[in-house]
Amino acid sequence: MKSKILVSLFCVMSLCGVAFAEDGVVENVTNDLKGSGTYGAAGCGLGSMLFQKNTKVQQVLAATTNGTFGSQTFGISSGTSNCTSQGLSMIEKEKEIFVEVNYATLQKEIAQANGETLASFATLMGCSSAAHNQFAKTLQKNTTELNKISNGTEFIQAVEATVKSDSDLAPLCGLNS
Amino acid sequence: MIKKIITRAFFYLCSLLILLSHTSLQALSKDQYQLSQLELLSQDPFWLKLGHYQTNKKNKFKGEIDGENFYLAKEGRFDPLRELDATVKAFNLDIINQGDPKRVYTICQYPLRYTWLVKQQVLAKEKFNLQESCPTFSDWFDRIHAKSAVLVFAGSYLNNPSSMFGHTFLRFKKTDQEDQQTPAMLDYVVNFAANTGNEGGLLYTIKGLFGQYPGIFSTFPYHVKINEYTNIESRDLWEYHLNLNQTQIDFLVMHLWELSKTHFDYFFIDENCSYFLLSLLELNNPKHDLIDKLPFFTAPVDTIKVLKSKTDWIEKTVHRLSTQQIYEHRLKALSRASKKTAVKMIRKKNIPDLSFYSQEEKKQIFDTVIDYQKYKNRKMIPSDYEKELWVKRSHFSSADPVSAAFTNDPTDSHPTMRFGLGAQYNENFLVNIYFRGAYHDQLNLQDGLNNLSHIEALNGKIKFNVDTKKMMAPELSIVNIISLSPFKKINKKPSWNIDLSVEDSYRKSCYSCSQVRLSFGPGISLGQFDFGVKENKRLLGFAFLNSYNALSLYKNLNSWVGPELETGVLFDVGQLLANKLSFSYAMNALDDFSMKKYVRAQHALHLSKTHELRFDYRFNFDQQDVSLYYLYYF
Repeated sequence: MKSKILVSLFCVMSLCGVAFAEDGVVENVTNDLKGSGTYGAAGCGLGSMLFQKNTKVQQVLAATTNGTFGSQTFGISSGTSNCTSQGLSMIEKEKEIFVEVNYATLQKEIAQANGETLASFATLMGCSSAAHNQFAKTLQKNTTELNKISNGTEFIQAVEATVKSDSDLAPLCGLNS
Repeated sequence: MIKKIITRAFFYLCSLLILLSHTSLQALSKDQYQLSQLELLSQDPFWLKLGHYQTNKKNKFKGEIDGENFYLAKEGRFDPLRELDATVKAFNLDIINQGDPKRVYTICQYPLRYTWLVKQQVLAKEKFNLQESCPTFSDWFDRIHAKSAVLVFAGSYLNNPSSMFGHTFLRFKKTDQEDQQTPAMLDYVVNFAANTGNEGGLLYTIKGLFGQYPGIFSTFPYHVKINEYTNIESRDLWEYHLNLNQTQIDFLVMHLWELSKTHFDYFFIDENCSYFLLSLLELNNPKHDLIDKLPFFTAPVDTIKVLKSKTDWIEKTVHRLSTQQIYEHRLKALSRASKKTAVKMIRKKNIPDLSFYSQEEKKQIFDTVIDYQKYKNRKMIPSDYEKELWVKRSHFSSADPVSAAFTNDPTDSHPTMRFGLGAQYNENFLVNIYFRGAYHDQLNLQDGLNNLSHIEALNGKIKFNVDTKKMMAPELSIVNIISLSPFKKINKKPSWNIDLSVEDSYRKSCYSCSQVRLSFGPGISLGQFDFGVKENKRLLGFAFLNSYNALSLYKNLNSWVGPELETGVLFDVGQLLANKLSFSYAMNALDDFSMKKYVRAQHALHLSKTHELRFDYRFNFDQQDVSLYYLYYF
């Protein structure tokens, strides 16, 4: 019985494979991963891959469901890489990884001055929860400038400068204006 | 036959090994009392869970972990006592040699085994300092900082064959309470998945089915998973917050560490993400075998269903909307005029003069269009149009949050296997037995599932001819997938379907002759589906243009290659009745373009989640075919 089921399920899955060949999801992932072996100036494998290969990002990330990409970066036993250690993001890279993974969402939520991603980012930047609203509004005023940045490290620096320029907000985020 | 021999040989070998191990253990151990204590402990349910031991039909143990280095004793995979003995010995050596900076401590690899054995008082008296001697582990443990646990279910995703049935993973919350200071997005999640490396396509499928991939646990920041599911794949997430105490949570994290250096063979259909997450959670319930409660085909949602029915752990539920749901919520909330403007903006990709609207209305129009762009543009780099929208949008007040009630709970879905009995009348009078391996069809109760999806595997019937008192050739649909996507002005997605079946030909020349058919093709559907928002009611029209290929299994029946047009409507009457009316027209290029056509009416009456009555009428223009049957889901 079990073998019978196996055989038929095999048919199921292989057919699906055929049906989705046009998407070429799996192939593209493979190519992308091979093509982006070098880490950019940011020095963090995950982020630099996303930025270099942005056109195929959806496929790359789609594959994490089955570990093609993700388990190499976040595998618990894979030890320490450029940006992760025992499967956790390194503390000093945490902000960078966050920005690079959520870049588009962050920019959008800055324009909307609201959102969970933006609030989480505020916490990562050291702002107390009481400061989240102010943080969102201050960044919103700088939407145009922030929009122009497409590098995680620069983005973090620009946000820090923006926060510092707001004398009410800076102390709430542990920064001196 | 060969299988029998191998099984038997294996059985003898195991018995021999166990016999040997017992005698040698007795010779090794000086203290008779200690041995009997170990013997007792080795049968403790908690120890058996720690080693992932399962008993087979002959009551022999086998550990489920396939990595080579997990079991410390050579025969540890098959003998919990030997494994326990080896563990105690290795740990005692660690304790004696504590402080040696060069030593790699076994305890650091098995913190939960250590914690448990200390409690059982079988280790050397001196205390071992986990914190100091195992810095890698304790740093990792502190970083995860787990205070509570959440089981997360990601809905099905039809565009990736490996995610058609959804996915489950575990999230460790850094706090008991939800607060902004410890945002959910910064929590860690544990994912169990097959590590497929760079392989894809057919090989991936074959290897996956036969357990050729190592299944491993990995940890991710939750924001990576939220981005992957809700943004990139547009799948909703359902969170089930578990009511576990701190000790139970610590045990989970420690055991996860123990498993992180090893692997399980990953089988797509049963030993998958769902299965191993449950085996991890079982630690908190060592007296009960939760994984035994899983059905043969383990769909990811079954983990949560088992927890819901067998434990009282689920204390709270949260629904995270996908970007598609968010934009649809926003669009729905707009006034008629605003909606028209928003749709126009989306189509023309421009920003018209909005001075006619109030500040609040302008903001809502912008947010709708922006969230639509977010859903459509799954690339990491925003388009110029998006940037333009953002800049214009930034002059208004904060966006209204889109809050979601916990709707379309996946655990409300019907069980996926079924069995049924019924009668059919065409040129013969038949009594049929129906069965299906998995998973969901258009006429099923739609609660908790995507009501536009239809995925069936191993759906068949066994037929008995009452007139001739003979069995007829059985029919079996090996796989049948229908994906409907209502076609909208601003969301022009095609529908598609594929069907591989062994079935009756329904042709005049030989009505009940079997054929193997593969048909597939694109289509279009139009209408209302209102999935996941309020009501699960559908009124949809659809049309498919298929490539219809049939290989005849009889001499007096031609094979078939040609186009097929299939069109129809699908509609619900409340929760009770699902209906499908269809018409099909097919031509055979192998037989002078002869044609066949039929009209068909299918109705399903949902008596409950597990009981269903079906009526199926098919008029082939030369032959009528009607069946009435009852289905039971389990």
